[in-house]
Amino acid sequence: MDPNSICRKAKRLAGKQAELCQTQPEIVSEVAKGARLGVRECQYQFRYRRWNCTSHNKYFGKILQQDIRETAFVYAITAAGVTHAVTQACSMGDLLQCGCEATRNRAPPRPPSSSSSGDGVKWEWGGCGDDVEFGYEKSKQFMDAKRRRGKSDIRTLIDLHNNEAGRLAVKLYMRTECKCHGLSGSCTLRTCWKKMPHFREVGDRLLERFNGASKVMGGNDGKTLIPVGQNIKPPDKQDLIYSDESPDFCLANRKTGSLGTRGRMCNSTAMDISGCDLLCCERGYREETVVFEENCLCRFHWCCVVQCKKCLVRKELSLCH
Amino acid sequence: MFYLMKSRAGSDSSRTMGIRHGTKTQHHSKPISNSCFIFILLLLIFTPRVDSSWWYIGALGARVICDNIPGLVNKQRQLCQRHPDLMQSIGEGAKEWIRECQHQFRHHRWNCSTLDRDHTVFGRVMLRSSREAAFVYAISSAGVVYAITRACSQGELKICNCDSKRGRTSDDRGNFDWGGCSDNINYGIKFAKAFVDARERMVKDARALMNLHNNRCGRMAVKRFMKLECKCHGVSGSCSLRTCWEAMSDFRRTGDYLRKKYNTAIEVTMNQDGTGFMVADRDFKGSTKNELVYVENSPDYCLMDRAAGSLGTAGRVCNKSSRGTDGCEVMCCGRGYDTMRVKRVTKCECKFKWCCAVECKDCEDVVDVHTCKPHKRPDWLDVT
Repeated sequence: MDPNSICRKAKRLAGKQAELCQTQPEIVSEVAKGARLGVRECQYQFRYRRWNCTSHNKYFGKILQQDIRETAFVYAITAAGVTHAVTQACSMGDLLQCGCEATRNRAPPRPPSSSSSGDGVKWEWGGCGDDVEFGYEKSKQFMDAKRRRGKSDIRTLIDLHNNEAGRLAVKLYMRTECKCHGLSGSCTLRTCWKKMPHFREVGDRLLERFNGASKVMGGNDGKTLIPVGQNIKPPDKQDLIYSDESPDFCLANRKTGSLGTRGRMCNSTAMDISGCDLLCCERGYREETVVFEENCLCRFHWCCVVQCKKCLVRKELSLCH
Repeated sequence: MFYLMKSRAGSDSSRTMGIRHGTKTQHHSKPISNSCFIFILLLLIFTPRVDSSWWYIGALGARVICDNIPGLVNKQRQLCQRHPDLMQSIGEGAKEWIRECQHQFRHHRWNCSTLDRDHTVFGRVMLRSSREAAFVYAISSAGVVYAITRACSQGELKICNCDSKRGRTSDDRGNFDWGGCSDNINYGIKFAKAFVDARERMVKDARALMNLHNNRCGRMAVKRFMKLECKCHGVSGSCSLRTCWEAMSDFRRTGDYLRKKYNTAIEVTMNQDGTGFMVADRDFKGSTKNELVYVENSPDYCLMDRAAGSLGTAGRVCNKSSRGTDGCEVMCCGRGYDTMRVKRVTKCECKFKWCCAVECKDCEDVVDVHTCKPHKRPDWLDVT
């Protein structure tokens, strides 16, 4: 997907996005990569749930039209994916507009919490830290652009909140990596830099927020969202919010965009939603033995080829009726 | 003036009153005595009679209680009328085994909840011959055995008392004398078998056989945890001389054991003759003698289902950080959870004041309580 082909479809993009397309097409390709990363992570996190985030068909759009928990997650993970991909591209030097994080205006270095050394250890910020601020800004620019035109209906507010939750899941969980380079590799001298969390971690965190998502409704002033229910904790910036109940994903329904759970792989021993009782919606399941080929016994040959043998692997799968 | 009570006592009381007043009025002059007599007569006619009241229960006794428990079969009612004190112990024991059941299942989707004002106690859940029914029948039998045996040992019943063991025996720690009060568990088992199994013996279907089997499993579970308790009273408290007796363990141990059996319960079907069980899984090797058996699969306790009797898990408190059955992922069946911010007032910084009170402060704590979301259909789907 090269930048030119994305931007040729710029008729569909509105306002700010079209502008970005024309001025910074490389960033747009990173944005597309980030969106794909987000959807892939969504499919991994939801692989054992009734709705498994399949985006390859027209029903995905129907899901996104509804203001449900699943949509909240998709928006959040996409925003997080865009942030992650753009920041990664900056650190790898693919983009001209940004680079490593500027360390001159940084606060005096704090030792990371995992340090076990005593005083007298000299710290320095160095290396190539991830410029997550840049990724955050670009993600905001691109994903929130369509919505900033003074619209403040409930759907827009919810989408903006969820996008922000996704971006914060990346930005607020940066980890510090350090390299020791004192005398013969000892840790008397250390250089540290900040790195983004692994995207799988971001996905896990957003899945937890998905489980605890709050249902909201519009307040009387039309600008605020209030949680539905008594004594419910008001959602904070990192929580996901939604306003409609999810449809029944057990059976296929063209109106709601549900694909049903027929033929889905389930886990016959688990007790949660990935277990065969809940995933197959009490319809039962069948055991199937699948034989497939896999790479095994891989060896590295100098220089520089990896050769693998093909093994036949037998796997027992449980598939829903 | 205090009126003595009897159901048809009106005439009697007036007679006695008349006699009493009669003796008093003899000391006065005649015209006054006449008017007094009329006055008393009027008083007796217009005073309301006290009719029969609940005091009659003292005379009726156990019969009225036994007749008013719905669901007793004839044999059970006979036993009830013959041994009213045993029934009282069983009634108290019922609260205890229900509490134990709810303790064992507090982290599960079905939490052994009872329905108020329902004479089936657990609702329609017990209609299905599931694992949960197996557990409840087993623990109820065990509860009856426990209650009766304990009442025997405490001397509350006339018909039984401590188990008579005499003489001197030895175990691996030396010789000892039987003494104290050994729990008479055999009587408990005998009565529990007669009472609890009476209903199942009237029909001969799969459910009755299953109940009989599970009842027996429950009774044997209590017997399994009898232990030997001893008191040392040799020279300066040494254990050269011991007096021992057999005592039942805490009911919690039986509850834990039965829950393990619940986890490993075996699915069975009735065999051709209708006299025994066949294990449904052909690969199963072993006996069903000490295991719980069930016939049907459990319903899904996730959603409220009036026909199956399941209350669903909406509103149940779940533990966000746990990965077990009380964790929010399993308990809420994928529906997600609501978080509530609740202020909890607990007692903290307790200090002992001499003498002799404990003074505590009230600490306010804000905690997050997670409850499962209910299952709701989206509104717009109802509009076609």
